[in-house]
Amino acid sequence: MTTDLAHRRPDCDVLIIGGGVNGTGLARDLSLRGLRVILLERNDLAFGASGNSSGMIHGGPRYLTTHPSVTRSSCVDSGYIQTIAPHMIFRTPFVMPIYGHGPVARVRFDAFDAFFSLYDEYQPLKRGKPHTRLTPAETLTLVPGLRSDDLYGSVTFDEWGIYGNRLCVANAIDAVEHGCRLYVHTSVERIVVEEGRATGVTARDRIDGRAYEFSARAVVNCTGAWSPITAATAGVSEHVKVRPGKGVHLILDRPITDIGVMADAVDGRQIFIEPWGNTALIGTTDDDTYADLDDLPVTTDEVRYLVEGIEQVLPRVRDARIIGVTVGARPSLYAWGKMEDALSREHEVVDHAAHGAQGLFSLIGGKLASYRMFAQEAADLIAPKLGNHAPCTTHSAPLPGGDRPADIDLLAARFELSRFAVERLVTRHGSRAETILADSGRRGRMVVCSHEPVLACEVRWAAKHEYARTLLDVARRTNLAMGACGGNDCALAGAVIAGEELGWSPGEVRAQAAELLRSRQRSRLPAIGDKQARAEAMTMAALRTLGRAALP
Amino acid sequence: MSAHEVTADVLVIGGGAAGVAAARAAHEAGATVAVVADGGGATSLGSGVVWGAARDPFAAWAAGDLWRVGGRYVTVAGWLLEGAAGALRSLLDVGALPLGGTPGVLDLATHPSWSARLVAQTLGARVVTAPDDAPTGQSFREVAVTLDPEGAAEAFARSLAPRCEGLSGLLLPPVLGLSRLDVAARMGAVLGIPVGEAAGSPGDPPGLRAMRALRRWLPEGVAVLNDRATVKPGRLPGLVFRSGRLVKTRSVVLATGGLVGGGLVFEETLREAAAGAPVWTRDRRRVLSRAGAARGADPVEWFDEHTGRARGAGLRVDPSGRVLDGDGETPLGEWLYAAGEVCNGRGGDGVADALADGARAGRSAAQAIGRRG
Repeated sequence: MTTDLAHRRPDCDVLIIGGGVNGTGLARDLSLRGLRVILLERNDLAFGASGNSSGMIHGGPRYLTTHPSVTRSSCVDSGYIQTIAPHMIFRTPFVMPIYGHGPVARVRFDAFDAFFSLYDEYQPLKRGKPHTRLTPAETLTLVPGLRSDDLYGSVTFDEWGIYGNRLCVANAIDAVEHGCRLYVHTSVERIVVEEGRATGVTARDRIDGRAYEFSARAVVNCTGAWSPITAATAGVSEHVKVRPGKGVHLILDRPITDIGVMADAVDGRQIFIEPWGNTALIGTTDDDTYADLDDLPVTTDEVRYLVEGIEQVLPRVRDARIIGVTVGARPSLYAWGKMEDALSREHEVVDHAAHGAQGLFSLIGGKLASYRMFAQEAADLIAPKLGNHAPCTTHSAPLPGGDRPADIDLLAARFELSRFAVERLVTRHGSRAETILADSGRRGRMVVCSHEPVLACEVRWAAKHEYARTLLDVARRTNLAMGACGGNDCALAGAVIAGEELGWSPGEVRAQAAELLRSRQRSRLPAIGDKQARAEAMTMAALRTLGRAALP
Repeated sequence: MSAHEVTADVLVIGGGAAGVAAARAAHEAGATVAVVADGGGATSLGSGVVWGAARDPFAAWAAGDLWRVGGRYVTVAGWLLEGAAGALRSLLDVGALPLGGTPGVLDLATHPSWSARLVAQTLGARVVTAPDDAPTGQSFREVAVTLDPEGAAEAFARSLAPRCEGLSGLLLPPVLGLSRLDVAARMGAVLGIPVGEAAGSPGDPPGLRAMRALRRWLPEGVAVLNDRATVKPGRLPGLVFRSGRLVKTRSVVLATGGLVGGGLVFEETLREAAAGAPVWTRDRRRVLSRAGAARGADPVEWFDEHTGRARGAGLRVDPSGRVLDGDGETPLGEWLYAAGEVCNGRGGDGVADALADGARAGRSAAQAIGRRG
């Protein structure tokens, strides 16, 4: 196929493929530098690893001994992210209980103590507090219900959590507000390489089937675990090697602990449970995967692995109900033969000029905590090649909503809402929460999803201003249907509101609601147990009602 | 006979659609009947719609009777009946509205899943703005409660009357009565046009109202006990209940519901709660569990992990409704019948099937007593 892409005025300076944290981060960075950017995402923003991570802007203590540079850069960038998006991050202290007695336990305790003393060196970079050593009694005060027999003591350390979905959305929206054109559910079919130059892409809208042709002066592949597949359309896949590692997290119906708790899994790996908004998150598995990246499976074994590991230190995890399972594929840099855990999360920008495709770049690896720095490195490489020498400003320019703190009490009083509802809205939207509330009438301030809670106006906002095109997209942006009811209470309401904004027919509204319920149910199935079975039957009943009452 | 002792030819365990139909059919066949009910299940948490009511002669019999309870309005005693008033075409039974006119859709400020604009757009109907003093509430139940009391629905209808001029009917969200069956009729009488409502989601008033209508449909003389029973196959005629009550009976119909109703419970595997009867996979090829021999079944046996759909599972019955043993041929007991969700484990909206199965099982149970003498 020949195209005239090389001969016409390019549609943009840089075309970015991939709406994860790397792609949106780079789109923002380049847009702030004044370059014209187009961002294409095959599914939705944060669909892959970015939206399904443990959401920690941690300093990477696990790399402390093997890759201290990763730890350092993570901590520095964590500090920057706190500056630009203070509303969406929250402090998450962790406790690492140490069991056993006698010299063995003491050596273990001292080793962790020493390890975290080393980590303390980096903590100021991210406003972290130094670690502490706790006696068994102190530990149990901090985490009631922790297994107490054989408890030797514990070590605490300080981390920060973030909402990965919102981080991607905020970056994308800021890019758009600086001129970027964003297309979600638009899949690149081919990166066009002509006479040794990448000149653009052909793409297709996966919802309405529309075909696109975009010309660009540079094309950047930011597709994470999909990177080799994307690169293959330009014939350079052998230079883009990632080793997709499947990471599974479980979401519990309530926080069950105020402090993150580390535990050893059956194979000795470190896993954790952390409070996460109204829920708790248990993670993480790490296994090579060769499955369909658009549709990663989770097995009951992976769920058991996580629950049984946490149960060893926090038996009451069995009393909670698992309301969701998330899965993503980490785009770890490829290294032959190493165990998954030993792979580095360090990142790399590949310039494919040497591979016969000038102007084509791939961002490989990276992690949520250092996305900003990775984007800056890539932009520092790409922008000058396009004659742009503007400095990077992403470490100081606030993300949307991060410019000033929102007064939660004031908003709650002014709009007659519970403090809790406002607080959750502010977590997702920062200072823009006020605009969202002010834009809505009394009905707009009704609670759609009481578990999160999500307000009607937030659903409308996601559809109108945040490029959501399906109800699942709305859910990714708002946490709709992520609560204990699994969407039984809110899927239809959410679909009605989004449908009004997006012009859905009533039949489409029901189909979207059913799709959200089905998707949530599917995510719970590997974790099905006696506490969940009755609720699942209810979801099926709701699904059948939706399906049979389908409108013409 | 003490207060704690009840005698009945047929004991129906479960007060949902299957149980009530069984009790009624057994009563019509001349048996004395008692119903044991223990909380709501899939019937009360259903949409309030009987889908496919006309498909099965038994269901048509049951549904036809229900239809007469409340008159001519779209919502009749909480039930929307497919086939009873033309094709079911939408959220609501628009077939029941007079043809040729313009119906109105009331824009009531209630649960956000109600969008008068969206419904009106589909039906070619007109949006009727609600007056300022119209009942509001975050849930349909809250609104329904305000319309229940004597005079409330009428007053509301009077305030709507000026806005309904020229309309052929008025459609509301599912709020037409929670504890009462006649709210639609009362409003319709004031307005002089049919008043209808949208079908509900699980937990909404139409389902709860349907349950109420069903209970009302139980014949005089059928005892209803709020209790829970455990059945030991081969141990008739006396059953002892959780409350210590003794019921002397000659035949039992399990209408205990599926997962929603509690007839089936999931503990490692899917188990039948009242009698420990064998639970079969939906294709009826394998037994998932039986009393004393629970075989650990992976959830995938029950759910299709890929599509997220339930494969379903439940008791296996012969054509008369008798529960079959693990061999798939021998009855578990000459006197043990089952009907409804406990037989298919689908969970949810199979009200028409439950009515049909229940009627069949109830009638068989009563007739078998006659044969056994």
